[in-house]
Amino acid sequence: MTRIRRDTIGYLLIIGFCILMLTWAIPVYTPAYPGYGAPPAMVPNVAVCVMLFMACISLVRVVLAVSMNKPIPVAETNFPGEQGDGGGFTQVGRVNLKHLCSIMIPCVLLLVAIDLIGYELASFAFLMILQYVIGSRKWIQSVVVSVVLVVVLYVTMRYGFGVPVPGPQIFQ
Amino acid sequence: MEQFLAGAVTLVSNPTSIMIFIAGLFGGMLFGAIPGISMLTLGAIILPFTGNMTATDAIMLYSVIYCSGVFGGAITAILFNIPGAPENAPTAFDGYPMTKQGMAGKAVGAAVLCSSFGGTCSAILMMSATALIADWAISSFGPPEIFALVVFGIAVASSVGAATVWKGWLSVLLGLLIATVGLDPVAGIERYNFGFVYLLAGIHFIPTILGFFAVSEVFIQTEKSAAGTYQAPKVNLDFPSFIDFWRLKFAVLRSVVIGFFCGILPGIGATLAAFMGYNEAVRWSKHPEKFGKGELEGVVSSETANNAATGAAMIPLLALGLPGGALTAMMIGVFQMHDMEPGPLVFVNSSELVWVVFAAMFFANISIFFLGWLQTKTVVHLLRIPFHFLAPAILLIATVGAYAVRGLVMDVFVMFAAGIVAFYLRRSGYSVAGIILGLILGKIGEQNFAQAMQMMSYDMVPFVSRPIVAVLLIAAGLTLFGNLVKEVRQIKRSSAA
Repeated sequence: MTRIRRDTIGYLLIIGFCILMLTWAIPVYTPAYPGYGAPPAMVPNVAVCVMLFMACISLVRVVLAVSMNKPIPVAETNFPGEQGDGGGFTQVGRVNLKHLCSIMIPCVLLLVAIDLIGYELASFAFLMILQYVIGSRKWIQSVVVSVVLVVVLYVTMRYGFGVPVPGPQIFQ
Repeated sequence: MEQFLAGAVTLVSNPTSIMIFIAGLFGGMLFGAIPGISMLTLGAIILPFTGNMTATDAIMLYSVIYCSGVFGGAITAILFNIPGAPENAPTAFDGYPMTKQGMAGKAVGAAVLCSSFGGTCSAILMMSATALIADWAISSFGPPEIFALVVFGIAVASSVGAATVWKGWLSVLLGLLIATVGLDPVAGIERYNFGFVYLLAGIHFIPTILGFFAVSEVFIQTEKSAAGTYQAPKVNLDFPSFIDFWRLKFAVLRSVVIGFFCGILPGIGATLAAFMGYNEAVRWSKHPEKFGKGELEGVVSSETANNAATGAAMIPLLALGLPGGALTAMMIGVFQMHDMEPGPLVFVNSSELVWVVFAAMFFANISIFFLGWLQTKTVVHLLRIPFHFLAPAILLIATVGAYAVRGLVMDVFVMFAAGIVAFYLRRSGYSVAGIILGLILGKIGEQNFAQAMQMMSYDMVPFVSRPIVAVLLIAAGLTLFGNLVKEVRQIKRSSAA
C-alpha cells in the first residue's frame, strides 16, 4: 500500500463520517435551541462542514497527483516496512494485524474480566499474557513482576489514595 | 519585602507549618504524576481535615499542592508519554520524543528548572502586583476575549505534530467534535449521547489523553518490537547546559508572561497556559517543523507556562474572591470552613495569612528545583526496565488511572478505543496533540462564545470590534493563512525537485 492509497482511504472515511453526521447524528441528536447562548448544533455543524470540505479538497488533490504521477510531500515517521521518502508513493508498512490483535485481545479481556473476577486476578492474568506476547519467556521473572505490580498498584490506590479498584462481581 | 520576610519567618518558625509544607510538596508531586489521580483528588481528600488546621496552614497547604501538582505530571509525560494531568500534555509532545532520542535527562532537567523558574517568577509577580493586575485582567478580559484567545490557540496549534498542515486542521476539528458530546455547556441540555447514559457527562479527557498518548504509544512500540525495529531509549542523566537555557531565554520569558496572564483569567488556568506557551513557541520559532519531534523549546515553553499560571491563579482568588479553577475553588471552601471570605478584605484583616501563603508558594517553587534535580538523577533510571515489562506496566497503570477518574469501567473502554483510533491516526500522519487540543479548548471556546453572544445581544459587530478580540482574531487568521502558504510552498518545492 502506498501513502496515497492510505490517505485516500482516510479521506474517504472522513467524508463518510461527515455525511453520516450531517444526515443522521446532528439532525437526530441535537436538542432544540433554547433561545439563548449559541445553538447546540453550531460547533458540530461548522466542524463537520469544514472537515468535509477539507477532505474533499484533499481527495481531489490526491486524485490529481495520481493522474499526473506526481509525488505528494509528506514528512511522516517511517513505520515498520516503510523505507525512504518517495512522497506519496512511498510504500507504507501494513499494520501487523496479527500482532496488534495479540495485544488488543488481552486488553479487551481485561475489560471484561476486571468486572467479573476483580482487579487482582484480572490484572495478574493480563500482565502475564502481555509479557508473553511481547516476548518475555522467563516465567519466574514474569510472575514476580506481575505480582509486585498488582500489589503495589492495589495498595497505592486503595490505601494511599483511597480510590477503590474494581471488585469481583462474580463472588458477590 | 518586609511583609514577605515576616511571612517567611512565620512559616519556618512553626514546625507544624514546615511539616504541612513538606507533605503538600511531596503529595502534590506524587498525585500530579499519576494519571487520573490529580492534585484535585488530593485536594478533595484532605478538604475535610483542613478544619483541624489553622486557616493559614490550610490555605498554605493548598497553594503548595497547586505548585508541586502542576509540575508532578511532567516527569511521566517525558519518560513514558503519560501526562499526569492535561496541563502536562504539551510537555509530552516534545519531551517523549527527546526520551526516545536518549535525551531524557535533558528534558526532565529542563522541565524541572523551567517549572521552578516559571513558578518563582509568578510568585514574585503575584506578591508585587496582585490587586493591580487582578483589576486590569478581570475588567478587560471577558468571554469575547477568552473565545478569541481560544480561536488563536487552535489556529496556532493546528500545525503541531501532524504530517501536513491539512491533517493538523482535520485533527483539531475532530477534537472539537469530540468535545461536543455530552451536555451543552450553556443550556445544560444533552446532545450526541446516542442514548447512552455514560455519554451524558461527555467523553472525559483523562481516559482520552491516556488512550491517545500512552496506549497508542505502547501499540506502536510493540509493533516495532515485533518487527525487530524497536530501540530502547538511552538513559542519559545530563542536565541541560547553561548555553541551552541561554539560547531559550526569550522562550522562557515569553512563557512566563503567557502563563501568568492565562493564570489570572478565571476558569482558564494552567491547562490553557501550557498549550498557549507551547503554541507561541511554535509560532515564534525559526524551525517550527522541529516541534513534536523532540525540540527542547517545546518542553521549556509548556512547563514554564503551566507553573507560571499557579501564582497568577491566586490573584483573582485573593484579590477578588474569584476562583480560577477547581483547586482554587476548593480554597474558597477552606476559607469558608474557617469563617473567612477571600477578597480585598483579606489583605486588611488577614495580611499575615496572605504573606505566609505567598512565602510558601515562593519556597515551594524553589524546592521543586532541588527535588526535581534529585528526580533527574533517579527516576530516569526507570527507562532501564526492559520493554516487555515496561509496556504491560504502562497499560495497567493507565487502566487503573482511567478507572480511578470516575470509578467507571467504561472509562477504561474509552481509553483503549482512543488508543486504537490514535494508533491508526498517528500512522496516517494525523496529530493526536491537535485532537487533544481541540477537545480541551473546544469546550472553553464554545462556552465563552455563547456567553459573549449573550453579552453582545447576539450582534457580531460589537463582538469583533472589541480591540483585543479583533487583534486575536486577525492574528488567528494570519496564522492559518501563513500555515497554508507554507504548505503550498512545500508542495511547489517538492514538485520542482
